[in-house]
Amino acid sequence: MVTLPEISEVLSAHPGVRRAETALVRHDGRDVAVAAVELSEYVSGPILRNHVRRELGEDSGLAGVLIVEHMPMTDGAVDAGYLASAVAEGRCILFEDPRDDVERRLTAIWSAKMNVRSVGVNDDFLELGGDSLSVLSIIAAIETEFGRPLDVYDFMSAASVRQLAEILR
Amino acid sequence: MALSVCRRIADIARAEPDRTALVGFDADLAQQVLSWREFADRVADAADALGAALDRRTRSCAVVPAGNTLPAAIGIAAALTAEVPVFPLNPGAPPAERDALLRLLGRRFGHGYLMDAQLRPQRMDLPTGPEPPAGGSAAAEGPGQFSTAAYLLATGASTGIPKISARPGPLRYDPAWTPSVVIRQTGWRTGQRQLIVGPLYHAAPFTAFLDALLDSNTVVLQPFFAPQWTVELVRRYAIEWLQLTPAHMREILRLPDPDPAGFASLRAMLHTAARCDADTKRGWIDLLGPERVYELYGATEGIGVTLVRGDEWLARPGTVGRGFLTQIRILDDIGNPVPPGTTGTVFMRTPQRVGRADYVNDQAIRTTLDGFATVGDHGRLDRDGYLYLEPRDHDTINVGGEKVDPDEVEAALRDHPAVIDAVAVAVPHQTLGSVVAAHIVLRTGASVRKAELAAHCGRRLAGYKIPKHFTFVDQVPRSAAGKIQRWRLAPYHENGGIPP
Repeated sequence: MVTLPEISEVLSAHPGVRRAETALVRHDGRDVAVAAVELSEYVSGPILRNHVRRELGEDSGLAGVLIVEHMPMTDGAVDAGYLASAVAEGRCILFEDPRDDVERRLTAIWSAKMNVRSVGVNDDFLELGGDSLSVLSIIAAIETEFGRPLDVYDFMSAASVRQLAEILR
Repeated sequence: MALSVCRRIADIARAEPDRTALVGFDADLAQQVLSWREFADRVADAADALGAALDRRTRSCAVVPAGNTLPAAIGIAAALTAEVPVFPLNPGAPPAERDALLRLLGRRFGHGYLMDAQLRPQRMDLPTGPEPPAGGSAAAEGPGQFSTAAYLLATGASTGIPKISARPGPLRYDPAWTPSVVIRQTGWRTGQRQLIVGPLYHAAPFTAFLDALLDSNTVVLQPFFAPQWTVELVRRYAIEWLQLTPAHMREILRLPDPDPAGFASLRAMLHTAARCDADTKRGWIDLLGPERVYELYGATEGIGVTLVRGDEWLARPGTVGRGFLTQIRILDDIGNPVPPGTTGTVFMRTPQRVGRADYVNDQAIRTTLDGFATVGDHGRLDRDGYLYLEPRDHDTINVGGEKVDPDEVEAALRDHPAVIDAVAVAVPHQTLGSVVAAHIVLRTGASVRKAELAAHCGRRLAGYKIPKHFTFVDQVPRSAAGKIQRWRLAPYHENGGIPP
């Protein structure tokens, strides 16, 4: 089992990260690991999360990364309550697996076209590292897979697998 | 598959050696035509000359006086071929402006190589300016940032504070990326015939030229804007793609009876840079039909773009469109998102992010923690995600607490048959703080009394928006992009009050 300090250590070693702290946060009735990071240059939460998953394994347990301006501390440790509220308010997107077939097929397309192993259904397309080239190939693949046209504007305003699935269902 | 500029030009020249690459005009307005083979040869020679002149021990850039001439086009292509960062300079820039720009370049480059009309590189020592303040962007920029730039462009012409933005280089051709997806969306086709009207030292015409070069266009360079001539060039060369500024659009509409048949070859007219007033927009939609009129907002800064086609605009007059591969967020003053319909600061996010490092001096964009960036424009989104911009803060005229959008006043003035152009500015007022004053350019041979102009405005505008002072001038100061340079009018009032 990967420990929280190990996660923080891997994050801190990333060239875009100045400081990282990880804590357990209660979410949906279970404890999940969430990291807070201060950046020296812009990197997105999902990209950092996937970096940890690549280094420590998909089962490393890190669910989300919150970008902060200043590390929220309480009693000498990272403020887990602050992280929990960020998750509850939607400021920190947690990794989530697809819940049905449409989401599964979309996740597979995103993953293949963006060359990203872990695609959470709530991950934002741009934060996951999407670019204008992957937009086009993803849209083409979705149009083939689902047999219907998809507007590039609709794709960008949906921005996540889950919201895209709602359009396609 | 990404090819160097050198390789790409050679490929096109080999595939279609006799097809026209460039049409230009010399000082006597005699037509000059270069085939792709001739163009490729001239570019290769100039690139060799630049390479030979270059002092490799010093970071260097090429400076091309970028009027719309064949030597300028060849000089730009040569620098890109030699992979030397290229700065297209306004050949008509006043000395003070030119010095300020060269000083900005001097912060990052030891030498500039001026490509003259004969395409002989002349080494110039760049003036060294003050270093950026400590803790500023110097560290972020790093020494590598600008020596590896593909090109540098002067921006900020409408504020009067020159800044230079850099595009990381070297430039590459990739059929999937050139031109960008958003430009492809505006009716652009590989190998098309394009007329370039705006000057090559401005961002939009410059990048359109690069795309044209890499995407094997035939380019016609109009050396200076004259509306009748633009229309004639479109007809004579069966131009398919054209980019204009609202000022160009306005002047073309004012020609006696512009003939829609003369634009039959045109697949698209794209306008960008400055705000376009509704009358001008409608005029062009009438002229071309809504499907051939496109508008882009936000392209220059690279933080995101919106795109709107004429038919969408007719359904939502005034919009600049939806984000294209761009997410838009409207934030209030403390950074919280606001609901649709509420005005705030426009933040955008795209795959290609720019950081502070993308600017040579300290003029920078503001960014959020999650990668959204703004240049400070204000606006609102409707429920469907269409963006509407508010006038920029520094342009708004505050009349006793009432906000006046100078664009609205100018549009009303231009509506008068005797008026060809107008600028509204603030002038100090003892009790109201400021009132509106107007600089008016009259049609040749026309005359009108100031009282009549005031009455004309009174029929269209609320009382506080009516200009209280009118000045007749020969022309209004505009940047190459067609943006009104209000700052050029300002000192006039600060020092001397109202001119008689």
